Amino acid sequence: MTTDARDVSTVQTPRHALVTKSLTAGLSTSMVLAIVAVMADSAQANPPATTEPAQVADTQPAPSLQGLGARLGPGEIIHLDIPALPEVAQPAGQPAAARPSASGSSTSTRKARSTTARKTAKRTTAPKKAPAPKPATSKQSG
Amino acid sequence: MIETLHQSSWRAMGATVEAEFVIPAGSPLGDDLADAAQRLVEDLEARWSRFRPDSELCRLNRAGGTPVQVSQATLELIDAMAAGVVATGGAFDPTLLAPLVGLGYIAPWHPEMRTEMGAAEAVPRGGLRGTVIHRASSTVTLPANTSIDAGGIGKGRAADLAAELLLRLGATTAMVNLGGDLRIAGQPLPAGWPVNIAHPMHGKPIATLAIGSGGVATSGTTLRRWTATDGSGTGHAVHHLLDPATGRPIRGGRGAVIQATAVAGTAAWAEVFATQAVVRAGDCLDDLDRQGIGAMVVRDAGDVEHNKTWRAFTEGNRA
Repeated sequence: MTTDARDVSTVQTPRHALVTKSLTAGLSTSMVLAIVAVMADSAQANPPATTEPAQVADTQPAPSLQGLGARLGPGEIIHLDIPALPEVAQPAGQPAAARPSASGSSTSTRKARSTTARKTAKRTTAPKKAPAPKPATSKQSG
Repeated sequence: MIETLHQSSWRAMGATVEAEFVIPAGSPLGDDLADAAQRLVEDLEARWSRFRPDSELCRLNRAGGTPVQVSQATLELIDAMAAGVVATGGAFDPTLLAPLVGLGYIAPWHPEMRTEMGAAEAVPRGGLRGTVIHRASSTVTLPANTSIDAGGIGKGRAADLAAELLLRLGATTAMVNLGGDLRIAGQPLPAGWPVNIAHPMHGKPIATLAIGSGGVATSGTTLRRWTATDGSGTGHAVHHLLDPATGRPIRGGRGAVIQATAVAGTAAWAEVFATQAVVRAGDCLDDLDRQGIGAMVVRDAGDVEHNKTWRAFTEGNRA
Protein backbone atom coordinates (compact mmCIF):
# COMPACT_ATOMS: atom_id res chain seq x y z
CA MET A 1 0.00 0.00 0.00
CA THR A 2 1.23 3.43 -0.72
CA THR A 3 0.00 6.96 -0.88
CA ASP A 4 1.86 7.55 -4.10
CA ALA A 5 -0.41 9.44 -6.46
CA ARG A 6 1.17 7.56 -9.32
CA ASP A 7 -0.53 4.42 -8.11
CA VAL A 8 -3.85 6.14 -7.87
CA SER A 9 -3.60 7.32 -11.41
CA THR A 10 -3.29 3.76 -12.58
CA VAL A 11 -6.59 2.75 -11.08
CA GLN A 12 -8.77 5.74 -11.82
CA THR A 13 -10.82 4.01 -14.45
CA PRO A 14 -14.49 4.89 -14.70
CA ARG A 15 -15.35 1.63 -12.99
CA HIS A 16 -13.08 2.33 -10.09
CA ALA A 17 -14.32 5.86 -9.86
CA LEU A 18 -17.83 4.51 -9.60
CA VAL A 19 -16.81 2.02 -6.97
CA THR A 20 -15.00 4.68 -5.03
CA LYS A 21 -18.03 6.90 -5.03
CA SER A 22 -20.20 4.02 -3.95
CA LEU A 23 -17.92 2.98 -1.14
CA THR A 24 -17.19 6.38 0.26
CA ALA A 25 -20.84 7.33 0.10
CA GLY A 26 -21.71 4.34 2.20
CA LEU A 27 -19.00 4.71 4.77
CA SER A 28 -19.69 5.75 8.29
CA THR A 29 -17.35 8.13 10.03
CA SER A 30 -15.88 5.26 11.99
CA MET A 31 -15.14 3.37 8.83
CA VAL A 32 -13.39 6.33 7.26
CA LEU A 33 -11.33 6.63 10.41
CA ALA A 34 -10.54 2.95 10.20
CA ILE A 35 -9.36 3.32 6.65
CA VAL A 36 -7.21 6.27 7.54
CA ALA A 37 -5.77 4.26 10.40
CA VAL A 38 -4.94 1.44 8.06
CA MET A 39 -3.30 3.83 5.66
CA ALA A 40 -1.37 5.58 8.36
CA ASP A 41 0.01 2.30 9.59
CA SER A 42 0.74 1.21 6.10
CA ALA A 43 2.59 4.39 5.28
CA GLN A 44 4.78 3.91 8.31
CA ALA A 45 5.48 0.29 7.64
CA ASN A 46 5.85 0.64 3.92
CA PRO A 47 7.18 4.02 2.93
CA PRO A 48 6.56 5.08 -0.64
CA ALA A 49 8.86 3.57 -3.18
CA THR A 50 12.01 5.53 -3.62
CA THR A 51 13.19 3.73 -6.67
CA GLU A 52 11.77 3.10 -10.05
CA PRO A 53 8.32 2.20 -11.29
CA ALA A 54 9.32 -1.42 -10.97
CA GLN A 55 8.38 -1.06 -7.35
CA VAL A 56 4.85 -0.47 -8.49
CA ALA A 57 5.00 -3.57 -10.59
CA ASP A 58 6.09 -5.51 -7.54
CA THR A 59 2.94 -4.54 -5.79
CA GLN A 60 0.70 -4.91 -8.78
CA PRO A 61 -2.25 -6.96 -7.66
CA ALA A 62 -3.61 -9.93 -9.50
CA PRO A 63 -6.25 -9.10 -12.10
CA SER A 64 -9.10 -9.84 -9.77
CA LEU A 65 -7.59 -7.79 -6.99
CA GLN A 66 -7.31 -4.41 -8.58
CA GLY A 67 -6.42 -1.45 -6.50
CA LEU A 68 -9.01 1.03 -5.45
CA GLY A 69 -8.45 4.76 -5.31
CA ALA A 70 -10.33 6.75 -2.77
CA ARG A 71 -10.34 10.49 -2.21
CA LEU A 72 -11.30 11.00 1.39
CA GLY A 73 -10.54 14.66 1.95
CA PRO A 74 -9.53 17.88 0.24
CA GLY A 75 -6.32 17.20 -1.59
CA GLU A 76 -5.92 13.86 0.11
CA ILE A 77 -5.51 10.90 -2.19
CA ILE A 78 -5.35 7.51 -0.62
CA HIS A 79 -4.73 4.24 -2.32
CA LEU A 80 -6.60 1.38 -0.75
CA ASP A 81 -4.99 -1.77 -1.99
CA ILE A 82 -8.06 -3.91 -1.66
CA PRO A 83 -10.14 -5.83 -4.15
CA ALA A 84 -12.54 -3.82 -6.22
CA LEU A 85 -16.13 -4.89 -6.22
CA PRO A 86 -16.43 -7.82 -8.60
CA GLU A 87 -18.61 -8.18 -11.58
CA VAL A 88 -22.12 -9.01 -10.56
CA ALA A 89 -23.66 -12.40 -11.13
CA GLN A 90 -25.40 -13.13 -14.42
CA PRO A 91 -28.86 -14.68 -14.56
CA ALA A 92 -29.51 -17.49 -17.00
CA GLY A 93 -29.87 -16.47 -20.60
CA GLN A 94 -27.73 -13.38 -20.35
CA PRO A 95 -24.29 -12.84 -21.84
CA ALA A 96 -21.53 -14.57 -19.99
CA ALA A 97 -19.58 -12.65 -17.43
CA ALA A 98 -15.89 -12.30 -17.94
CA ARG A 99 -14.09 -15.60 -17.67
CA PRO A 100 -12.52 -15.92 -14.26
CA SER A 101 -9.04 -14.57 -14.20
CA ALA A 102 -5.99 -16.64 -13.67
CA SER A 103 -5.42 -14.91 -10.38
CA GLY A 104 -4.82 -16.63 -7.14
CA SER A 105 -2.32 -19.17 -6.08
CA SER A 106 -4.24 -22.30 -6.71
CA THR A 107 -1.46 -23.97 -8.60
CA SER A 108 1.31 -22.68 -6.42
CA THR A 109 -0.44 -23.70 -3.25
CA ARG A 110 -0.87 -27.30 -4.28
CA LYS A 111 0.98 -29.87 -2.28
CA ALA A 112 1.26 -33.55 -2.85
CA ARG A 113 -0.80 -35.29 -0.23
CA SER A 114 -3.34 -37.98 -0.15
CA THR A 115 -6.90 -36.85 -0.49
CA THR A 116 -9.91 -37.95 1.46
CA ALA A 117 -12.49 -40.29 0.03
CA ARG A 118 -14.40 -38.85 -2.87
CA LYS A 119 -17.49 -39.94 -4.72
CA THR A 120 -17.51 -39.54 -8.46
CA ALA A 121 -20.17 -39.91 -11.10
CA LYS A 122 -20.29 -39.13 -14.80
CA ARG A 123 -23.40 -38.63 -16.89
CA THR A 124 -23.34 -38.27 -20.64
CA THR A 125 -26.18 -37.85 -23.06
CA ALA A 126 -26.20 -37.69 -26.82
CA PRO A 127 -25.98 -35.89 -29.02
CA LYS A 128 -24.03 -32.85 -27.87
CA LYS A 129 -24.72 -31.11 -24.64
CA ALA A 130 -24.10 -32.34 -21.14
CA PRO A 131 -27.25 -33.20 -19.21
CA ALA A 132 -28.71 -30.43 -17.12
CA PRO A 133 -27.34 -30.56 -13.61
CA LYS A 134 -29.51 -31.23 -10.64
CA PRO A 135 -30.00 -28.16 -8.48
CA ALA A 136 -27.21 -27.24 -6.14
CA THR A 137 -28.33 -26.11 -2.71
CA SER A 138 -27.28 -22.96 -0.91
CA LYS A 139 -27.73 -23.21 2.85
CA GLN A 140 -26.25 -21.71 5.98
CA SER A 141 -22.61 -22.61 5.77
CA GLY A 142 -21.24 -21.21 9.01
CA MET B 1 -18.62 -32.30 -29.40
CA ILE B 2 -20.38 -34.51 -26.88
CA GLU B 3 -20.11 -33.28 -23.35
CA THR B 4 -20.04 -34.96 -19.97
CA LEU B 5 -21.15 -33.60 -16.64
CA HIS B 6 -18.58 -34.80 -14.13
CA GLN B 7 -19.72 -34.85 -10.50
CA SER B 8 -17.56 -35.33 -7.42
CA SER B 9 -18.06 -34.78 -3.72
CA TRP B 10 -15.91 -35.03 -0.63
CA ARG B 11 -15.59 -33.59 2.87
CA ALA B 12 -13.46 -30.54 3.68
CA MET B 13 -13.66 -27.45 5.87
CA GLY B 14 -16.24 -29.15 8.04
CA ALA B 15 -18.65 -29.41 5.14
CA THR B 16 -19.50 -31.40 2.05
CA VAL B 17 -17.85 -30.12 -1.11
CA GLU B 18 -19.55 -30.69 -4.46
CA ALA B 19 -17.64 -30.08 -7.67
CA GLU B 20 -19.50 -30.48 -10.93
CA PHE B 21 -18.10 -29.50 -14.29
CA VAL B 22 -18.64 -29.95 -18.00
CA ILE B 23 -15.88 -31.56 -20.07
CA PRO B 24 -15.78 -33.29 -23.45
CA ALA B 25 -17.22 -36.78 -23.31
CA GLY B 26 -14.53 -39.41 -23.18
CA SER B 27 -12.03 -36.97 -21.80
CA PRO B 28 -9.66 -38.70 -19.42
CA LEU B 29 -9.28 -35.49 -17.49
CA GLY B 30 -12.38 -35.69 -15.31
CA ASP B 31 -10.77 -37.45 -12.38
CA ASP B 32 -7.64 -35.34 -12.69
CA LEU B 33 -9.65 -32.12 -12.53
CA ALA B 34 -11.64 -33.33 -9.55
CA ASP B 35 -8.44 -34.40 -7.84
CA ALA B 36 -6.87 -30.99 -8.46
CA ALA B 37 -9.90 -29.20 -7.06
CA GLN B 38 -9.92 -31.42 -3.99
CA ARG B 39 -6.23 -30.89 -3.31
CA LEU B 40 -6.67 -27.16 -3.66
CA VAL B 41 -9.53 -27.03 -1.16
CA GLU B 42 -7.65 -29.23 1.29
CA ASP B 43 -4.59 -27.04 0.94
CA LEU B 44 -6.62 -23.91 1.63
CA GLU B 45 -8.18 -25.57 4.66
CA ALA B 46 -4.72 -26.32 6.00
CA ARG B 47 -3.80 -22.65 5.59
CA TRP B 48 -7.01 -21.08 6.88
CA SER B 49 -8.36 -23.35 9.60
CA ARG B 50 -8.47 -21.81 13.06
CA PHE B 51 -8.54 -25.32 14.49
CA ARG B 52 -5.10 -26.21 13.15
CA PRO B 53 -2.36 -24.57 15.20
CA ASP B 54 0.09 -24.73 12.30
CA SER B 55 -2.20 -22.96 9.84
CA GLU B 56 -1.18 -19.59 8.44
CA LEU B 57 -4.25 -18.06 10.02
CA CYS B 58 -3.30 -19.32 13.48
CA ARG B 59 0.26 -18.09 13.04
CA LEU B 60 -1.13 -14.71 12.07
CA ASN B 61 -3.44 -14.60 15.06
CA ARG B 62 -0.59 -15.46 17.41
CA ALA B 63 1.78 -12.89 15.98
CA GLY B 64 0.63 -10.06 18.21
CA GLY B 65 1.32 -7.07 16.02
CA THR B 66 4.35 -8.35 14.14
CA PRO B 67 4.45 -9.03 10.40
CA VAL B 68 3.82 -12.58 9.25
CA GLN B 69 4.73 -13.83 5.82
CA VAL B 70 1.81 -15.62 4.25
CA SER B 71 1.02 -17.31 0.97
CA GLN B 72 -0.54 -15.45 -1.91
CA ALA B 73 -3.79 -17.30 -1.26
CA THR B 74 -3.91 -16.05 2.32
CA LEU B 75 -2.89 -12.54 1.33
CA GLU B 76 -5.77 -12.44 -1.11
CA LEU B 77 -8.13 -13.79 1.55
CA ILE B 78 -7.17 -10.94 3.87
CA ASP B 79 -7.62 -8.56 0.95
CA ALA B 80 -11.10 -9.91 0.39
CA MET B 81 -11.90 -9.54 4.09
CA ALA B 82 -10.76 -5.92 4.05
CA ALA B 83 -12.86 -5.20 1.00
CA GLY B 84 -15.85 -6.81 2.67
CA VAL B 85 -15.45 -4.70 5.78
CA VAL B 86 -15.32 -1.51 3.73
CA ALA B 87 -18.13 -2.44 1.35
CA THR B 88 -20.52 -3.28 4.20
CA GLY B 89 -19.59 -0.40 6.47
CA GLY B 90 -18.34 -2.88 9.05
CA ALA B 91 -21.38 -5.16 9.10
CA PHE B 92 -19.11 -7.89 7.83
CA ASP B 93 -16.33 -8.23 10.37
CA PRO B 94 -13.81 -11.09 10.33
CA THR B 95 -12.20 -9.97 13.61
CA LEU B 96 -14.88 -11.40 15.89
CA LEU B 97 -12.94 -14.55 16.68
CA ALA B 98 -12.18 -13.54 20.27
CA PRO B 99 -15.85 -13.06 21.19
CA LEU B 100 -16.65 -16.32 19.42
CA VAL B 101 -14.02 -18.13 21.46
CA GLY B 102 -15.46 -16.40 24.50
CA LEU B 103 -18.66 -18.31 23.80
CA GLY B 104 -16.68 -21.51 23.92
CA TYR B 105 -16.58 -22.12 20.17
CA ILE B 106 -13.09 -23.61 20.26
CA ALA B 107 -13.61 -26.80 18.29
CA PRO B 108 -15.39 -27.67 15.06
CA TRP B 109 -19.11 -27.25 15.47
CA HIS B 110 -21.39 -30.27 15.76
CA PRO B 111 -25.12 -30.46 16.44
CA GLU B 112 -24.74 -31.62 20.06
CA MET B 113 -22.11 -29.05 20.97
CA ARG B 114 -22.15 -27.63 24.51
CA THR B 115 -19.55 -25.17 25.71
CA GLU B 116 -18.36 -23.24 28.73
CA MET B 117 -18.26 -19.49 28.33
CA GLY B 118 -14.93 -17.79 28.91
CA ALA B 119 -14.40 -15.87 32.12
CA ALA B 120 -13.68 -12.59 30.38
CA GLU B 121 -16.00 -11.25 27.77
CA ALA B 122 -13.99 -10.35 24.70
CA VAL B 123 -14.92 -7.17 22.92
CA PRO B 124 -15.00 -6.51 19.17
CA ARG B 125 -11.78 -5.14 17.73
CA GLY B 126 -13.21 -2.98 14.98
CA GLY B 127 -12.97 -4.79 11.69
CA LEU B 128 -9.31 -4.99 10.68
CA ARG B 129 -8.61 -1.47 11.89
CA GLY B 130 -4.87 -0.93 11.80
CA THR B 131 -4.12 -4.03 9.75
CA VAL B 132 -1.20 -3.72 7.36
CA ILE B 133 -1.24 -5.72 4.16
CA HIS B 134 2.11 -5.48 2.41
CA ARG B 135 1.87 -7.08 -0.95
CA ALA B 136 5.48 -6.71 -2.04
CA SER B 137 6.75 -8.75 0.89
CA SER B 138 3.60 -10.88 1.12
CA THR B 139 3.23 -10.06 4.78
CA VAL B 140 0.25 -9.23 6.92
CA THR B 141 0.39 -7.52 10.28
CA LEU B 142 -2.63 -7.72 12.52
CA PRO B 143 -2.77 -5.30 15.43
CA ALA B 144 -1.97 -6.81 18.80
CA ASN B 145 -4.96 -8.54 20.38
CA THR B 146 -6.71 -8.86 17.05
CA SER B 147 -7.51 -12.25 15.59
CA ILE B 148 -9.42 -13.24 12.52
CA ASP B 149 -11.63 -16.13 11.49
CA ALA B 150 -11.82 -17.23 7.87
CA GLY B 151 -15.33 -18.54 8.56
CA GLY B 152 -17.78 -18.26 5.74
CA ILE B 153 -15.67 -16.04 3.52
CA GLY B 154 -12.98 -18.70 3.56
CA LYS B 155 -15.43 -21.25 2.24
CA GLY B 156 -16.63 -18.82 -0.39
CA ARG B 157 -13.12 -17.94 -1.47
CA ALA B 158 -12.21 -21.62 -1.67
CA ALA B 159 -15.25 -22.31 -3.85
CA ASP B 160 -14.23 -19.42 -6.11
CA LEU B 161 -10.66 -20.61 -6.47
CA ALA B 162 -11.67 -24.22 -7.07
CA ALA B 163 -14.18 -23.27 -9.78
CA GLU B 164 -11.62 -21.05 -11.47
CA LEU B 165 -9.04 -23.82 -11.30
CA LEU B 166 -11.41 -26.25 -13.00
CA LEU B 167 -11.86 -23.81 -15.86
CA ARG B 168 -8.15 -23.29 -16.26
CA LEU B 169 -7.66 -27.05 -16.44
CA GLY B 170 -10.16 -27.52 -19.24
CA ALA B 171 -13.72 -27.53 -17.94
CA THR B 172 -16.09 -25.30 -19.91
CA THR B 173 -18.51 -24.77 -17.04
CA ALA B 174 -17.92 -25.45 -13.37
CA MET B 175 -19.88 -25.34 -10.13
CA VAL B 176 -18.25 -25.76 -6.74
CA ASN B 177 -20.48 -25.84 -3.67
CA LEU B 178 -18.65 -25.69 -0.36
CA GLY B 179 -21.16 -26.34 2.36
CA GLY B 180 -23.75 -24.02 0.85
CA ASP B 181 -21.49 -21.28 -0.49
CA LEU B 182 -21.20 -21.90 -4.18
CA ARG B 183 -19.66 -20.52 -7.33
CA ILE B 184 -20.71 -21.10 -10.92
CA ALA B 185 -18.17 -20.11 -13.54
CA GLY B 186 -17.38 -20.47 -17.21
CA GLN B 187 -19.73 -20.79 -20.14
CA PRO B 188 -23.29 -20.36 -18.84
CA LEU B 189 -25.61 -23.29 -19.35
CA PRO B 190 -28.58 -22.45 -21.60
CA ALA B 191 -31.07 -22.61 -18.74
CA GLY B 192 -28.57 -21.53 -16.14
CA TRP B 193 -27.34 -23.59 -13.22
CA PRO B 194 -30.26 -24.31 -10.88
CA VAL B 195 -29.67 -23.42 -7.24
CA ASN B 196 -32.14 -24.17 -4.48
CA ILE B 197 -32.22 -22.02 -1.37
CA ALA B 198 -32.80 -24.10 1.75
CA HIS B 199 -35.41 -23.05 4.29
CA PRO B 200 -33.75 -21.96 7.55
CA MET B 201 -35.78 -24.39 9.64
CA HIS B 202 -36.68 -27.49 7.65
CA GLY B 203 -34.19 -27.25 4.78
CA LYS B 204 -36.66 -27.68 1.95
CA PRO B 205 -36.26 -25.30 -1.00
CA ILE B 206 -37.92 -21.92 -0.58
CA ALA B 207 -36.65 -20.52 -3.87
CA THR B 208 -34.82 -21.75 -6.93
CA LEU B 209 -32.40 -19.56 -8.84
CA ALA B 210 -31.09 -19.95 -12.38
CA ILE B 211 -27.51 -18.69 -12.36
CA GLY B 212 -25.59 -18.00 -15.56
CA SER B 213 -22.43 -17.23 -13.65
CA GLY B 214 -21.66 -15.94 -10.19
CA GLY B 215 -21.71 -16.84 -6.53
CA VAL B 216 -24.48 -17.66 -4.08
CA ALA B 217 -24.10 -17.75 -0.30
CA THR B 218 -26.47 -18.11 2.61
CA SER B 219 -25.89 -16.94 6.16
CA GLY B 220 -28.12 -17.27 9.19
CA THR B 221 -28.68 -17.90 12.84
CA THR B 222 -30.66 -21.13 12.89
CA LEU B 223 -28.14 -23.80 12.02
CA ARG B 224 -24.89 -23.40 13.96
CA ARG B 225 -26.43 -23.13 17.40
CA TRP B 226 -25.35 -24.61 20.70
CA THR B 227 -25.72 -24.19 24.44
CA ALA B 228 -23.06 -22.17 26.27
CA THR B 229 -22.95 -22.37 30.05
CA ASP B 230 -21.87 -19.33 32.03
CA GLY B 231 -20.02 -19.21 35.34
CA SER B 232 -23.21 -19.61 37.34
CA GLY B 233 -24.12 -22.78 35.51
CA THR B 234 -26.87 -21.19 33.46
CA GLY B 235 -27.11 -22.40 29.90
CA HIS B 236 -27.61 -19.93 27.06
CA ALA B 237 -28.71 -20.75 23.54
CA VAL B 238 -26.18 -19.07 21.28
CA HIS B 239 -25.15 -19.10 17.63
CA HIS B 240 -22.08 -18.24 15.59
CA LEU B 241 -23.21 -15.05 13.86
CA LEU B 242 -22.10 -12.14 16.02
CA ASP B 243 -23.06 -8.49 15.96
CA PRO B 244 -19.90 -6.43 15.28
CA ALA B 245 -21.26 -3.68 17.50
CA THR B 246 -21.56 -5.86 20.60
CA GLY B 247 -19.59 -9.03 19.99
CA ARG B 248 -22.68 -10.98 21.06
CA PRO B 249 -24.86 -13.28 18.94
CA ILE B 250 -27.28 -11.30 16.81
CA ARG B 251 -30.50 -11.02 18.72
CA GLY B 252 -33.55 -12.84 17.53
CA GLY B 253 -37.13 -11.96 18.19
CA ARG B 254 -39.83 -10.16 16.33
CA GLY B 255 -38.73 -9.06 12.87
CA ALA B 256 -35.20 -10.40 13.15
CA VAL B 257 -33.63 -11.84 10.04
CA ILE B 258 -32.79 -15.48 10.65
CA GLN B 259 -31.37 -16.18 7.21
CA ALA B 260 -30.15 -14.20 4.23
CA THR B 261 -28.96 -15.28 0.80
CA ALA B 262 -27.00 -13.09 -1.60
CA VAL B 263 -26.10 -13.49 -5.28
CA ALA B 264 -22.93 -11.73 -6.36
CA GLY B 265 -20.08 -12.12 -8.82
CA THR B 266 -18.23 -14.51 -6.55
CA ALA B 267 -19.06 -16.75 -3.63
CA ALA B 268 -16.79 -14.72 -1.35
CA TRP B 269 -18.66 -11.52 -2.10
CA ALA B 270 -22.00 -13.29 -1.78
CA GLU B 271 -20.97 -14.44 1.71
CA VAL B 272 -20.04 -10.88 2.67
CA PHE B 273 -23.36 -9.47 1.56
CA ALA B 274 -25.41 -12.31 3.03
CA THR B 275 -23.78 -11.63 6.38
CA GLN B 276 -24.47 -7.93 6.01
CA ALA B 277 -28.15 -8.62 5.39
CA VAL B 278 -28.45 -10.63 8.61
CA VAL B 279 -26.49 -8.14 10.70
CA ARG B 280 -28.48 -5.22 9.31
CA ALA B 281 -31.76 -7.08 9.80
CA GLY B 282 -32.50 -6.82 6.12
CA ASP B 283 -32.22 -3.05 6.11
CA CYS B 284 -29.83 -3.01 3.17
CA LEU B 285 -31.77 -4.68 0.36
CA ASP B 286 -32.10 -1.44 -1.59
CA ASP B 287 -28.41 -0.67 -1.16
CA LEU B 288 -27.56 -4.10 -2.47
CA ASP B 289 -29.86 -3.50 -5.42
CA ARG B 290 -27.85 -0.44 -6.33
CA GLN B 291 -24.72 -2.57 -6.37
CA GLY B 292 -26.32 -5.24 -8.54
CA ILE B 293 -26.44 -7.75 -5.70
CA GLY B 294 -29.48 -10.00 -5.42
CA ALA B 295 -30.62 -10.66 -1.87
CA MET B 296 -33.38 -12.48 -0.05
CA VAL B 297 -34.02 -12.52 3.69
CA VAL B 298 -36.21 -14.73 5.87
CA ARG B 299 -37.54 -13.24 9.09
CA ASP B 300 -38.28 -15.07 12.29
CA ALA B 301 -41.97 -15.47 11.49
CA GLY B 302 -41.11 -16.97 8.13
CA ASP B 303 -41.74 -13.84 6.08
CA VAL B 304 -39.60 -13.71 2.96
CA GLU B 305 -38.38 -10.49 1.34
CA HIS B 306 -36.13 -9.98 -1.62
CA ASN B 307 -34.87 -7.08 -3.69
CA LYS B 308 -35.41 -6.36 -7.38
CA THR B 309 -32.11 -7.81 -8.50
CA TRP B 310 -33.05 -11.13 -6.90
CA ARG B 311 -36.06 -11.47 -9.19
CA ALA B 312 -33.83 -11.57 -12.26
CA PHE B 313 -32.49 -14.91 -10.99
CA THR B 314 -35.81 -16.47 -10.07
CA GLU B 315 -38.05 -15.73 -13.03
CA GLY B 316 -39.51 -19.01 -14.22
CA ASN B 317 -37.76 -20.92 -11.47
CA ARG B 318 -40.02 -20.52 -8.50
CA ALA B 319 -40.04 -23.52 -6.21
